[in-house]
Amino acid sequence: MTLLTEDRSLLDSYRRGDRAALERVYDHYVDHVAAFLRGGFTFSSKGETLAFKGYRSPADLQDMLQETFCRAFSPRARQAYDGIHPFTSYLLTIARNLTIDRFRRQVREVYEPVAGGPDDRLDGGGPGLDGEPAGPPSPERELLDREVAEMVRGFYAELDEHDRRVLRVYFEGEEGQRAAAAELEMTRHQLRKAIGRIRTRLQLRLIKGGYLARGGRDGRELRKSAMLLLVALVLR
Amino acid sequence: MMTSNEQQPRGSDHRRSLAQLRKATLGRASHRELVQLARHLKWCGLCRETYDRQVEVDRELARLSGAEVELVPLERALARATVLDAAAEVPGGRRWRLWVGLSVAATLALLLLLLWPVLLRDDDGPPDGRRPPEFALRGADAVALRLYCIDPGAPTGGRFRPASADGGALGCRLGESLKVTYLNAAAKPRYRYLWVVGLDEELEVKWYYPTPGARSGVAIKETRELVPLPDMIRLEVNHRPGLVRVFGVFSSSRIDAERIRRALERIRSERRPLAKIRALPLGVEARQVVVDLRIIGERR
Repeated sequence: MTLLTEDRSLLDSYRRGDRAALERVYDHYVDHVAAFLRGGFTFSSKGETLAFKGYRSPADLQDMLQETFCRAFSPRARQAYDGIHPFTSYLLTIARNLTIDRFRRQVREVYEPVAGGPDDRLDGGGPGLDGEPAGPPSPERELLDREVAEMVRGFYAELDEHDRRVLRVYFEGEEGQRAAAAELEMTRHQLRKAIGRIRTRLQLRLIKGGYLARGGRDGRELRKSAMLLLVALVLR
Repeated sequence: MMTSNEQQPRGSDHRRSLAQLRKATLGRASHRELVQLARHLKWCGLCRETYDRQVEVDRELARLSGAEVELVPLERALARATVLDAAAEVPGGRRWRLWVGLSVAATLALLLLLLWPVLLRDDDGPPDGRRPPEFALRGADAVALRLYCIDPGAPTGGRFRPASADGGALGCRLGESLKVTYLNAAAKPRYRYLWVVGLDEELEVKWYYPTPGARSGVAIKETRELVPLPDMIRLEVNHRPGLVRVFGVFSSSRIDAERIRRALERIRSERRPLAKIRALPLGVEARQVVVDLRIIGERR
């Protein structure tokens, strides 16, 4: 996590706001910021120690990820970073402050007083405290989540070993895809097509199970995908 | 109340965003589509729920496949596109764009004025509600009220912010405005009218939609998409910090203002705490939805 402190030319490019540098910085640090925001942290407010238990909704996490990096990539923040202290600490401080601002506006997440003192660990080490979901989900939500998880498990159980491997490669990201494609004896294009095929099958399964409704233009597209899938299976 | 047409969610935006979400899930969305989708997700409650579910599905699939990842590709790509798009905006470019934007806005305003009678027609799909939903959640087969705070100072263009969600303790600041949207997807009975009123902790009544002088509730259409009610409610007018319980009364037949007023008066006379008021005692068949809104600000 010392990318910017070790690579001075990258640091200069970051300060200038070069797109390639920002992309590299984003790709390098985004997982760490996400882990921090999902894990949560404690802080003091008006003499009370509070625990932020982490963003449980992916959409909220997405909002805060965007806001953190937008702030860190703003001209002022780029110039303000000293290039000496770990950039992770800089990013996590931004994420933390934005989350606390949000708390002060009482917008969304659930906070609660805790017995211990505030945790100001932003040394670039761990991503904050281990968090539990903030508040129990509604019974309806729980039921839906269970149903969906079961459906996804059922889908996964039906995949052959090759497709499971393809999926794993997909989730592990672009970088691993080159090596994995070679290992699977596929071109990257073939690998992408295989990923698309599996994802489409899952979408259809979710629709068939009633988890997602379809219609209009989307329905036509999905029917087209289903036809293509059928043709592919026949040709195979 | 103040009017702001440009901030109302439009059906076409909504449909486009759900299609974009599906493309993004399949890894086929372009950079521009991802940026548009992220903007839409800022304020669209239904799309946020769909996004949440999609990410949960992907996380489960990633876990099953043994991939140890903090973010699934959909999450990563969406944030990446938005962040890089925002970073590409240079101050000079912004100023130039502001001028272009203002010129375009002025031209559009003129056009809007000329085309106003044509635009007033409701052509947002067949009136009988036959238009099938696109990628809608199964749980959306219901009625609901969703509230949004309009925050002019929010970063990354997020002016709309959900003020309410199922089981969430959310809120708006006193300086913000409130946007009310409804979902009317109940198959039976079919609801055609809606009243939206509120009670604060002092049991002071807030007439949101329509005004108390109206003869009946607002006419609503059947839809699986969130539909915004007109105008916005400025919270610094007639509101104070604290909780407001908002009641949405969906009915098949007209309910007149007098009946609503009587129900509210009865509640006020009983002086029950706000938390214990679950519905308005209307005495007629209606489906009532309750949403709590916390208004944040300094008490005077």
